[in-house]
Amino acid sequence: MSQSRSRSRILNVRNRLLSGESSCETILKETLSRLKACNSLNAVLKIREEEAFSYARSIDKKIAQKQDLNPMDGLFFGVKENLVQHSVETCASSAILKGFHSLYDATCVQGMVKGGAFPVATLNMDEFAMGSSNENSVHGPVENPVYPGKVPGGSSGGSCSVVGSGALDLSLGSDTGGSIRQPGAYCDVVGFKPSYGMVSRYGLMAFASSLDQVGPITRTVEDAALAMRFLSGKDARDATSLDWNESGFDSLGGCELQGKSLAVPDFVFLDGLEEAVKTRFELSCEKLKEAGIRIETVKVKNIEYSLQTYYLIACAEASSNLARYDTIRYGKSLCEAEDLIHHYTQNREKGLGKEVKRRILLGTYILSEGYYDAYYLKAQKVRNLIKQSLEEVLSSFDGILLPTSPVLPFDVGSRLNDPMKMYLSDLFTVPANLAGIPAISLPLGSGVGLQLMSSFGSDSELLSLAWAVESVLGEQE
Amino acid sequence: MSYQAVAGLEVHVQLNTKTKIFCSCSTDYSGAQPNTHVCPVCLGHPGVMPVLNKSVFEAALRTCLALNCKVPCVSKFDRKHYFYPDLCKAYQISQYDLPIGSNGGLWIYPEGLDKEGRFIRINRIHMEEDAGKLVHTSSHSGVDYNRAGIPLLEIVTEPDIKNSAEAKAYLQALRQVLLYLQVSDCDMENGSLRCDLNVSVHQPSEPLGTRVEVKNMNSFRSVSKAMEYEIDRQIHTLENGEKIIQCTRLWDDDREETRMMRSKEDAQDYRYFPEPDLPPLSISSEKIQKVRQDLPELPRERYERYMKEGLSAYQAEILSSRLDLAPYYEDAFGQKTGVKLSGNFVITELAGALKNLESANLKLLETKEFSALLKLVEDGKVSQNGAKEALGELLTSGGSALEVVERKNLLQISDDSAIEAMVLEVLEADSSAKALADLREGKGKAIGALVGQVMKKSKGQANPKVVNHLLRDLLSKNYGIEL
Repeated sequence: MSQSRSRSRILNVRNRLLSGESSCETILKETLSRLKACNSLNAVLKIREEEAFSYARSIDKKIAQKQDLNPMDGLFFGVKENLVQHSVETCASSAILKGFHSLYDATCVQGMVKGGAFPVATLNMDEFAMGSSNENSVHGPVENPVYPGKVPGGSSGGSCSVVGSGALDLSLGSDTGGSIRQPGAYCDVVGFKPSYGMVSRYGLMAFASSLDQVGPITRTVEDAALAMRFLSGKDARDATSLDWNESGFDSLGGCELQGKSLAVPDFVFLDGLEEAVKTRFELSCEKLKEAGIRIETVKVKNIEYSLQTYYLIACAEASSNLARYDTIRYGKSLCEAEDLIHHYTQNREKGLGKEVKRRILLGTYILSEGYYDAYYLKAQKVRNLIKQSLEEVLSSFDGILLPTSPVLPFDVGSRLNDPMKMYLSDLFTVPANLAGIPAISLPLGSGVGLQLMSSFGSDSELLSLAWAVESVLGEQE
Repeated sequence: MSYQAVAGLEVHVQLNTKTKIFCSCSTDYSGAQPNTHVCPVCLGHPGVMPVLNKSVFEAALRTCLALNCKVPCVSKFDRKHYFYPDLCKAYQISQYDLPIGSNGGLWIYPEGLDKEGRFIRINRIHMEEDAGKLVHTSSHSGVDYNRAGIPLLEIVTEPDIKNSAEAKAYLQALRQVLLYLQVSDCDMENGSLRCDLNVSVHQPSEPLGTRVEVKNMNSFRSVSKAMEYEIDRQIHTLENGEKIIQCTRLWDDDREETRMMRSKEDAQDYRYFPEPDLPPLSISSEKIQKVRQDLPELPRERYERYMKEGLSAYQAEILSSRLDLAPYYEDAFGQKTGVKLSGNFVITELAGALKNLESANLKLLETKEFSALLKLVEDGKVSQNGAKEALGELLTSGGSALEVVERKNLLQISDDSAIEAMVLEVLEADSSAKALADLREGKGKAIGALVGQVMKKSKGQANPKVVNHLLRDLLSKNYGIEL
């Protein structure tokens, strides 16, 4: 893509460095003051200030010595607290892991660091990535940076909040049922969930292993694509990671919208779609049609069962993945128990939050003898049907278009005691996780996101399409 | 009323791969300090993922095919959940409904390899990870995770075993196959082979009885004992008009009895579900074909070959079961040493020396030196007794057969002219007069004294056969004494 058309925040910073306009230390100081200015959002947990300064000085030295820069040199990024980092406290915003320091770095963090970037801050989230409002955190709730009094969405609420506030240009999140895209929409930023396996999950504290995926949160599609160059690729430590050609993320330009076709699943317009979301969505559809895109409303068979299917599978897997948190091997014991069974029950009772326990109990029940076939197995079958019908649609359309969330960012505290209503905000994001396909949320303003999905493995094509769509819609400031 | 017993065995074997099943930690933890062979993966730290060790898959595949199991085109891993501190993730990665092998079996020969065998069906073979180990002290309990993630194969029979002799024969036969495949050390004492027993009794006309599981046996002998005890206990219970309760019992090796551990009501729900972190294994028929072709000779095949080569059933049975001794026979046989001599020497002398000589070490004896020694015996250069002596030396100090034989003056003189000179000397000596007189009187036994004289003169190195021959020759020629 030509520099003149670039909307990249990352390249902008890089150009300041290369032109000598600013030193990396200056850029760091600006970043730190922005991070501190958004303190009230409660998005930032820990800032690695000292290390960041020695990193900045090393970059400045490189520039002074006219050494070649790495593509991501000078970029300070944020990391969701469920992505482990060596010797940095990583507790997935849960009391049960308070004080836990990992012995290794998550592969995705390593990838960014290899590209030259520095993980300057760890970011608040819903405990173990379970939630849609970032209100389930041992560190307290995160606030929406754009719409005061509203939730930032979840579970990557902290990651989206810092990018939405402008404090950071890039943060890493994880998306199990919409946890990158839904808060991305609520904070008016770009949230990208790659195809399942496109980014290594090694070092991501598992919530639902068959649905989890790491992805970037940025202000522009171009920056998401830049990050994907360093996030994607086969990882020998993740047997489910894909051996995909990374170079696909190098160029985004050249996507001609004229003649492209997008499908809108008809279930979008069922009950529950808020009027404001509908209006914004339809308005952007009009703009895309003007740009020459053919948009058709289609029936996607069984997609209306997505949410139920998702919660059955996600809770089942979560009950398994979270069983290891017992404070025996790591994490501080939260109480003295008289015997082993009480050690388990009391520590887990104290250490895990309400929503997490709710899902563990549900998942345990779902996997129990006599219920497995009726729930888990059936859910897997429905999952396959949903996957098939999405694939079918994607075989005759270039992508699927729908709002990211059926509802606007809601008031802090308003849905906390109504889990079913809370879960509904993920209605449009879970199908992509069930099918393993890539999906991106583009900001339409007012906390509304436009979601684009495409076929499995076509991540770079989706980013190209999204980049062109972004051009038509205009960047949200 | 006569009852009959039915039993099945569940055997866990630790595979002897260099690294653990899902991480690259070394498996060589014996004698190591606790928690020194661990990493975030086998400790189940947050964010880690398992990656299957290819050697484990290969070893499992070899075992399945050697045990006549069917291997599916797709096999997968599942999670088995239970809470216990030795299980880092609170689930064990195991295999549930698509194990690597099923519907196999193994021939056993409880009454000897030359007698009729019985086919014990194997229901399934699956791969899984071992758990850590709890260590209790007076004040606290600790966990050692060195063992966590050691690869295991679980091999489960159908209820085809009728008595303790069959149980023992099955375990021995299974151990043999695994040793031949070199996939495990199969040492019950250090836990690399563990065995659970399922046993029930019933009247021949009735359906199978209620099954009781017995755990905690640490030798083949205790498996036999536990099975006998449990059969007696169950028959006794039924004869008293009581019912058998489905339960798990523990074998107490000191008191030689089983006792209740938990009843069926306490059985855990393991909540199995497919392991999402490991993609299913696709196994092509070409792969299966290749592994099958590369299987080594198995115990029964070797036994039959030995029989064909001319060993007795007894020798073939012993040699096919002693993987340590067999190479000595194989090498000697390959060097065209007589089968009888080779067989006898390996089984009687070599095995005997190993047993009786405290400092004997098989590692010091190279197979080619053993064959060279037997060749010397066959060529008449060393007597059998001389060879025994040399064998002892080779097993304790090593070295070459020829060098040892020479150093210990064990070489026989078979050179006719040298022995003839000695024989003539003895016959002409005054001390031989009595023997000559006796011989003239027809007392043939007197020749022994003359042989003895010659042997003494040769310092025991003359070949007795040659001495005998020449003596008779010269007695006839020079003294007219025909024997």
